[in-house]
Amino acid sequence: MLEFEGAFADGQTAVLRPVRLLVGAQTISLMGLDGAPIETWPFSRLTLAEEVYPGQPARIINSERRGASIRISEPEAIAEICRRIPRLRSRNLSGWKPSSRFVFWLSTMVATIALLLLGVPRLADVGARLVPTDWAQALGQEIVETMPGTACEGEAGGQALHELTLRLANQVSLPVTLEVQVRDSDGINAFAAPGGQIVVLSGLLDNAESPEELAGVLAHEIGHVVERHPMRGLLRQVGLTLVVAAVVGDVSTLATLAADFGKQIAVMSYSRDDEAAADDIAIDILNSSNIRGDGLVDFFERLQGATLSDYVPHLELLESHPGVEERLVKIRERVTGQGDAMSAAAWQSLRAICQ
Amino acid sequence: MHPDGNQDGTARLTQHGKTTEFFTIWIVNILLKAVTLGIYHFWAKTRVRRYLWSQTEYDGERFEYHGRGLELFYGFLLAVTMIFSLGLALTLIMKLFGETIPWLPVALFALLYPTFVVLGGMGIYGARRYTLSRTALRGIRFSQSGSPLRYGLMTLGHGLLMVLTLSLYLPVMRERLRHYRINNSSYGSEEFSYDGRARDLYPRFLLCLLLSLPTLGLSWLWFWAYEYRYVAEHTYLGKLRFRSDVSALGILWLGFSNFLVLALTLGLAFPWVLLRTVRFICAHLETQGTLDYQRIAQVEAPEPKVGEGLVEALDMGSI
Repeated sequence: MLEFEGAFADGQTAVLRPVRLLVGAQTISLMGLDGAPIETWPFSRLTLAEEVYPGQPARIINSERRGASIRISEPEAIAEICRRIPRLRSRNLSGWKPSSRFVFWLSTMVATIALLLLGVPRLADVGARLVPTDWAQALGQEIVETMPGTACEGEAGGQALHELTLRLANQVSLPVTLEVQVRDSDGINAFAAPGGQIVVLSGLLDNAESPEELAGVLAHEIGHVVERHPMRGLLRQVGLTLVVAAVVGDVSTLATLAADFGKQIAVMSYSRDDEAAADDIAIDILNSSNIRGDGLVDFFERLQGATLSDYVPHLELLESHPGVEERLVKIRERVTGQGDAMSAAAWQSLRAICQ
Repeated sequence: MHPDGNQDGTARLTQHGKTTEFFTIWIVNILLKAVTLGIYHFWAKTRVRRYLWSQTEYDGERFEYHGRGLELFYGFLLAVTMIFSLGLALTLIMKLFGETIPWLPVALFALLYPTFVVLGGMGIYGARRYTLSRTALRGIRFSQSGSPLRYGLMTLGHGLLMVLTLSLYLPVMRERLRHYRINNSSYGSEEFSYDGRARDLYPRFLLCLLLSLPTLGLSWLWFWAYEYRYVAEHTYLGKLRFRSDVSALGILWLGFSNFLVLALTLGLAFPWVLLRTVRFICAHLETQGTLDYQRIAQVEAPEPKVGEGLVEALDMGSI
């Protein structure tokens, strides 16, 4: 039998009564200072009212006695009572040094976040492969509809585009059927959305000086489609946003996530590896279809030589395509094609596709 | 420890919270929120309150927080359901009568704003009622009576007068709402009372109003500090009186340094900032007089079964 001193709050008035506590095998007996018995509390009903930190008095409550509590201040008493009553142990933190708990949980959190951040790209990879083609296509089509401008319907231009696309696509094995469209918007840009959906903005058509440039850009986007970069990039973005939102506890972010897909695709910044991979495929496509690679070279040279102010309204292209110099070097080295991308007439009608 | 009542004289709030411990709680909360996609938020909030309450000591005893995360969660679900139903009802009304009554959309929209003001007021009052009912000292619970709806309507009414008087009505509005809140609060069987009057605050208020432009708004700190001290002085719990020595400069320094720290740490130091603010409040509040603990009895008042949901649903919550 162990005896301690403590205080008893009966929950009827605010008075705290000094008591003697006898800790038995299964119960705590409360007695007045004179030894008169007050109550008996069975271990099975007891819990600590809140977590007990070093230097803090412990409050023991009884599920059968609403409002009443035993208070113990002596650290040794607290440790001993918690030792004898296993149910109390989980909330007894008084044996731990605050700094060691802090270090432990901090490292756990850092490790967890690192794991999540590292794991998201892996999961995105797997996910991109597993998503059924028609889902990806449906998603891609939805995303394309949110992009600037409207789809251009010029028949002759559409035909020229279609032929060029087929010619390029036949050089590689694609996981999905391509659907290329031109949208009327001033941006000098082209995007690949999931499900083989490629969008070329009319600004790019206007800015291009030859159909070989378009062929190069198109081949590059096809490269992204072959490697499933758009879906992967989207899943990655979503995954990371989910992690951050969950950490911050912002439930509303999850709800607005879906609305953002279009924007994600528009400002998708692929890694250098991804861009290099797309470049490689583009070069192969151009070479196999015997299209002059100087179009692509010209296009990149113009990109590289442009000052920020030239392109400020079209900053997106610059931002999402880093390392232009090294890519230029590689492209120059490897292109071997000699032929045209399309006839001059076809190019004219393609440039007019949005009229 | 004074089992039967504190001696005549002053007693202060002692804050025992440690930054390391609080940071640990915060980190665990973040981890669990991440794993549960944010649902843990209600349990996290409860945990933080339980720590802050149990580290605050008054007259030898620490405060107690009995709230449970589940209660807050249910309250949130209820509030969200209610707001959702409201939205649904509005949409239905629009669909059914939108054609026949041309001024309906405008009318409904005009009703929306006051409705949210009332809901906001109800949320604040309901939140306070829940938090007080789950707070205890020496085993005796606090409570708050009164009606959240009434409080919400008061907020709307006084708010309108505020707008009409270009905010000259502000002290009166704050006083009326404060009266309702404090006079409906009790500690067990002992009731809080408040006898402040708006007219006492007007000289300082008008002065601060005049000075607000030259001081770029800093004169308001002066008013708030004065108001806080005034409210403390005019609040009573039985024979217990309250005092505060908070100063505008103190608040300014606290707010400014907190802001700096948060900015420099990109918000990571929030737990420290929070604890520091709590310490500040505790350090600048004291009581005078005695409480007869024998006379303070537990009152079996009806307690709210679930937590305050509106505050979370309307995204107004903090601690």
